[in-house]
Amino acid sequence: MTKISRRTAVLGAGAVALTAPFVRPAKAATPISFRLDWSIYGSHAPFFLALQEKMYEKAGLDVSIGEGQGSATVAKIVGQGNDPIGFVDFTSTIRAVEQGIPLIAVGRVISNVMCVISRADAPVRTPKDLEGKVVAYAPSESTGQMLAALLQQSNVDGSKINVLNPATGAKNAVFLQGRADAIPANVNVQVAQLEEQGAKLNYFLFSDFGVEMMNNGIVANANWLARNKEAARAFVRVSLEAFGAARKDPDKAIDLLLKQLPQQARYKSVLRRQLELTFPSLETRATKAKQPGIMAEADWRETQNLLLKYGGLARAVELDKLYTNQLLEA
Amino acid sequence: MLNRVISAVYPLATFVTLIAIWYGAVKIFHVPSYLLPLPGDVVQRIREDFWFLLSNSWVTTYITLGGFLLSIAVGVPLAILLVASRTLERAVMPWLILSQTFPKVALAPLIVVWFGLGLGPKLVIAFLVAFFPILVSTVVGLRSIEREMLELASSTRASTLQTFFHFRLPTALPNIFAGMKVSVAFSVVGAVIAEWVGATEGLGYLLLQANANLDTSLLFAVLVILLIIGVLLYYAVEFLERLVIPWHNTIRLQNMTA
Repeated sequence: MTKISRRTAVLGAGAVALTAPFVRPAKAATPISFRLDWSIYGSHAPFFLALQEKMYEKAGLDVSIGEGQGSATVAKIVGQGNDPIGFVDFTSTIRAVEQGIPLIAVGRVISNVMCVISRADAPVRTPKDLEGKVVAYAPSESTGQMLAALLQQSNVDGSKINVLNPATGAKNAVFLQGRADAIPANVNVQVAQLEEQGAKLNYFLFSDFGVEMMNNGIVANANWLARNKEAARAFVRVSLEAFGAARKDPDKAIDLLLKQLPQQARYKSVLRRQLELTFPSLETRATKAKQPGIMAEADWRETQNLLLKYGGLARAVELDKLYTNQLLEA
Repeated sequence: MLNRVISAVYPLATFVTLIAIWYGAVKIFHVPSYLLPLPGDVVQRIREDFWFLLSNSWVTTYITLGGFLLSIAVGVPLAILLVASRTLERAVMPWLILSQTFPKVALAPLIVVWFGLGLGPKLVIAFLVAFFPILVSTVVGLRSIEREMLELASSTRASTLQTFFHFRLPTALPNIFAGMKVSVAFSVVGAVIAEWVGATEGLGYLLLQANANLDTSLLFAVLVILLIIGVLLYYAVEFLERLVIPWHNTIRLQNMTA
């Protein structure tokens, strides 16, 4: 056996050490700060399931999830690039793109959650029943704006309805006190909150009466997306898988949400019910039995038309500027 | 000393009366807990989430103090400049006043979108809400010097700078402290507004959470804490005032009746 001299050993080690900077470690995880639309509610649980089960990590993503301050503000934040991806309402996305903010929707999640909630002992079963009743909603609320669409679809005379405009957040209290007979709301948010306060509820969806609309989905900054297609693709895929997993085991999804955010523990039953009510909203008529998250042009056209007619949208935006199914194609 | 203790009884008595009225109102009118929780429930909530509330309180206090100190750091020098230059004052003051009629709550979301969700934008919002009282009171204070004092200064051949430090500034101090007391209360409000629009922790953020979850006892717990912070900061400024201008009428007269 040839003896390796000390000099050779040292020179050999030095040569290896010199190559160290050129030896890349396994590809570093792409950081993604994901901005939710609002304070935590049950529909967010699947994202936390994905985070806690390390699904994002396995896909090479370093994801952090932050609460949002309303889709309108989050749309601007994602457009600025402060957070590359957000869970944003598609109506806010349309408004933002119309103003030139670089956003693009990459995955549909929640649709048709707008509903009208009333008390079980004095139920409002159809839009026509709203005539002569007192309805409350905050002036800036999208559910309030779309109520006009619901009324028109069913030939209801809007002037026969008494409208109260409490500030955002007071709507629930106004309803519970009995000062309002019905409130337009989101089935995946307010129903559980009101039930938690002991209210017995009756509700119907806007979509049961002809007003179909997409709500929240995964929206990315267009410039960031162009540079990080693969990471975005992985994020959307993992997130939609997580919704599927949450569907199979909603209790686990909530437990993992609470593991990440222990201060939400006292709202556990509300979160669980909100998640439960989210599952029916994960597909639209046009995307029944299709791949989760896929977006249909018809749905975008319908949502934009509702905004143009009832939401004060100034101009229509070309549909292909609003969304892309590219990240969902295999 | 006894006088001090006796005079503390008055606010204590008011406090107890208010709590009694609160409790009575909830019981007599059967007010539901999502509208107005019992005082006991609020105390219970504070006890349950004590460390959680404390850490969030610290964040808000940090922003409050930051905004407050920034207000002093910018407000006082700006006031000095405005008093020194009549032209500058005429050019700038109307705009400063206009900026105050503007509701900061409306501007705050824009600041967050422009500058992000970090500490800096929050300090800016708190500062915008809090600096005007200091500015105005400093200007008034600096201008309130009597002619005889200025004549005394010139008779001792004091330079402009010496006149400022030994005559103008001490005369202005009582007004500056008055402005600071108002400003510290505003800083708390500013910090909460900043946390409403772009935060993931802090008392303002907890208010949002309480609102979103119809958690009224958390809302009241946070309000009680904000009250305590505001009062503590106010009395801290007053304590500072006592140390810095013990010779002023307001302090001397108070001590006489004590």
